[in-house]
Amino acid sequence: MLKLTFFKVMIIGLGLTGMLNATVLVNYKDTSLLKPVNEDDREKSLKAFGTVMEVIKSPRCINCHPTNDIPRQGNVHRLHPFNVNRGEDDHGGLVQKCATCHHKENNGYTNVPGAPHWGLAPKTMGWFGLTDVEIAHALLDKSKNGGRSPADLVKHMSTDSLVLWAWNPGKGRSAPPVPVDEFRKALDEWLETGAHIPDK
Amino acid sequence: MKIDFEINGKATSVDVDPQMPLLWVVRDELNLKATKYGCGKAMCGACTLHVDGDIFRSCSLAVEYVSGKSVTTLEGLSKNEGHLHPVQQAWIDENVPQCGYCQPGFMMAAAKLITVIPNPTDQDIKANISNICRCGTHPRIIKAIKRAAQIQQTTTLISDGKAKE
Ligand code: FES
Ligand code: FES
Repeated sequence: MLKLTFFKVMIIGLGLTGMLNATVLVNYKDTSLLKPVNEDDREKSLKAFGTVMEVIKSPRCINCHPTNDIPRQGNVHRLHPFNVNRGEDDHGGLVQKCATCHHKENNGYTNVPGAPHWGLAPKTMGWFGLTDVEIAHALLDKSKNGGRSPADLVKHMSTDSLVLWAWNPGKGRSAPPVPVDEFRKALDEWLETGAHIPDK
Repeated sequence: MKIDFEINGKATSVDVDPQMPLLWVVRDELNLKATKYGCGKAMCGACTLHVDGDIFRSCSLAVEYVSGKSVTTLEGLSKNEGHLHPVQQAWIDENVPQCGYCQPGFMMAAAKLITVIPNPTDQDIKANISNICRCGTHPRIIKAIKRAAQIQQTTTLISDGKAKE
C-alpha cells in the first residue's frame, strides 16, 4: 500500500501516467522515492530486510526504542530502574535526566554506557513489541521515522553516533549480531530493491 | 591534564586524569567531603551534586566534562552562610537523617526538584528522585521536601515584598 503511494506520486510527478510499468527505475538516493516494487527482487529484498531486523531487534537498539515511555536494559529487556522516563524531550524528566548518569562515552569506572545525545528515540519511532511487518512500515513511514526519506534513513543508521554506539557498547554488553558494514549494506539493499515487506 | 572549573562559586583548577570521576576530585583533590561514595555505579545517588544547575551522579561523571562549568556541592548550597538553603532548613526542621550517609545526595536532588516543581506532591517527589536511603528515611525526606518548597515560596514572597504583614 505504502509503496503504491510512493509509486503513484512518482508517476504523477514525472508525467508518465499511462506508462505504468514496474520496470521504471527511480534511484531513491536522488529522489527520496523508493524504487517501484519489482517482484523479481522480492527474495533478495526480504533477505536484506531479515538482516536489518536482526540489528533493529537486538537489545542494544530496541531497548531505547520503546513504544511506551520507559527504556529497557540488558539482553532480557528489563525495564530501566530509577523511575526513568522519556520526559517531554525524550531525554528524561525535570530533575533526573538521561545525562544525570549517561555522558558522551562509556564510563570506564562505573560501566555506565554513554554516547553523544544519549536518550530515547521519539515515541513515534517505538518498535519494542511490534511485529517485523509493523516495524518495516514504521521505518518507511515519514510520520513515524522522524521525517526521513529512505536516503536519510540509510544516512542516519550509518552515521549517527548513538546508533553506532551499538557496536561499541562497552564491557559486558553484546553488540548486534551483524557487523555494522553488513547492516549498512543490507539496509541499502532492502531499500534499493523496493523495500519489500514480509507477508507476516 | 589541567582542568579549570568553578566549585561552589570559586574558580579552581585540578591536574588529574581527565577520566577521573568528579566525585574523587571533589572529595580527594578539593577536600570537600559532603558528597558521598555509595555504590560507585550511578545507582544510589549518594554522590549527587549540581553542574550548571542540573543534577549529576558524580561517581559516573568524568571530571573533563565539567571543564569551564560551575559545580555545586552541599557545602555550597546556601549562597549566604547566614541563611540556610530552604532544603537545609527543612532537613533540620523535620529531623530527617538517620545515619546521614545518603542525605547530601538527597538534599542536592531535592534542591533541584523544588526549583523545577515549586509545589511538589508526594508523587512528584517519588517520580523524580530515585536516590536510595538504606535507613528508610524516605517518609521524612518527602515531608522535608514539601516543607522546603514552602520555605522557598515564603522566602520568594518576602523578598518580592508581597508577604510583609
Ligand atoms: S555513589 Fe554515585 S550513584 Fe552511588
Ligand atoms: S540516613 Fe542512612 S542511608 Fe539514608
